[in-house]
Amino acid sequence: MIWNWPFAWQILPIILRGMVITVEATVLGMLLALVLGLIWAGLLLLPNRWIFWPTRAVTEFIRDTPLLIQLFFCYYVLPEVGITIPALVTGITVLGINYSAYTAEVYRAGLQNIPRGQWDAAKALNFNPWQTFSRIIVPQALPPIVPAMGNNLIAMFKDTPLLSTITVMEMLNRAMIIGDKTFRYLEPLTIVGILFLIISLLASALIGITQRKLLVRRQ
Amino acid sequence: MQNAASIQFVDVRKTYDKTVVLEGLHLTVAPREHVVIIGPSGSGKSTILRLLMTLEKPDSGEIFIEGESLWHTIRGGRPAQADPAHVRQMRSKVGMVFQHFNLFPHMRVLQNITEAPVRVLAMPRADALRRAKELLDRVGLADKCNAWPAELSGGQKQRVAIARALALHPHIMLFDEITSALDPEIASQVLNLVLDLARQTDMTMLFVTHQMRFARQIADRVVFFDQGTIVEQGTASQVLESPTQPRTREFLSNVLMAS
Repeated sequence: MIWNWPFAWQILPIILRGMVITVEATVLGMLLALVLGLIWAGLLLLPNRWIFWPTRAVTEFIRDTPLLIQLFFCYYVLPEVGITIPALVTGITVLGINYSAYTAEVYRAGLQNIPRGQWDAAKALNFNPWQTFSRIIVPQALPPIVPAMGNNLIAMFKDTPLLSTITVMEMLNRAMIIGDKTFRYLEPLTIVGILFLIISLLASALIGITQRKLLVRRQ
Repeated sequence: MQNAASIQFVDVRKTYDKTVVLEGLHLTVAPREHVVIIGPSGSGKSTILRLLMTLEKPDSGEIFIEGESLWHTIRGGRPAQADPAHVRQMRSKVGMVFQHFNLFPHMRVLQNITEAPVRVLAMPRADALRRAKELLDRVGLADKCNAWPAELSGGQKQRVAIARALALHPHIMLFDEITSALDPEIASQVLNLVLDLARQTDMTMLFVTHQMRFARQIADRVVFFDQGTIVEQGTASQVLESPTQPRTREFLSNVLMAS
């Protein structure tokens, strides 16, 4: 098997179109995971067991079932009860919800590292619970957890090929279709692999820069 | 009587897990009075301040601020648990300075002071800034407006913390071992600032401190506190120079030996 350059150049634009969808799914999925995860973490902080235990149960359930099954369930079972959602939307939503259970743990670690004195001072200055959370606690909890969040982002990015199983036309799906049609898998799969590598490296570099910026600002 | 008092504890009990920290505490503080609470570490002194600041809730008993119960209101002619709005309203009368300063590390000095007036009192930002600069000037840190807390010394941090508490115009100020984390020389600078403050304002002040000289200078009344109860109280010279209780004498001789 010899690498065929003309063939590789010919299929690159098709795969790049898939890359747009992959990146889109990752960005939107991560946004959902970041917001939802913060909500879980906030609920887990409340001193109320009627909120704590149901939240704990939901996040535990999400983490202890495979992402692939969650995808299949939402794409193939929900339509049977009359809920039909487009494949890409399903994919983004399931990715986001799945990763929210992990981002919640990261947030929780960050929040637990805030000294009690910060909560005391916020209360003594009469900030309400929302102001305390959004103005005092979260801004301090975020910079240290940027690397861990970055790992989640890259892990999610690398999980996006799973969306090919529910017909989303992301990179892997396109590569496999090209392979099935032309009986050449070397070029499409290699291109997809390299694109994943490039974007992952870029993302880690960006995460490093972000963290350094956030830490410098405080000194 | 109740209406005249600035602060009143009535039969207050507080436990952590199973340890009793306060038992049957009765304490009344008059408006503008400066009360210093002394006593061994772990005797529950700080808990008194934390209860007033609503950082802790008593297990039983009542705490009144300016005649109003902190945790209870009257609804339909019956006493009921106070709602969060009532507790916030009560809390606004009290300010607190902490042993470890607890400045917000992600805000510059000026914003540490303006944040609460702007967010909590909805004060226009320009007014809050003007007031914050006045306060910084008063605590001798006018040149540190734009510094980050990490760039300040301990004594400077504590002075910012005092300015931050004053910015909300409390009627009652609580000082919880505010110099315990500072070097002696720096500590006396901070204490002198507080002495000036005590002379120039109308605030009721409660101190927990190990600085006996400061206690003598500022206190209208010294309260010796041990094992969850008040052992002895009186003017500074009564309690510090001629204590009547053996436990007070023992404590004072230990403190003198240490210093």
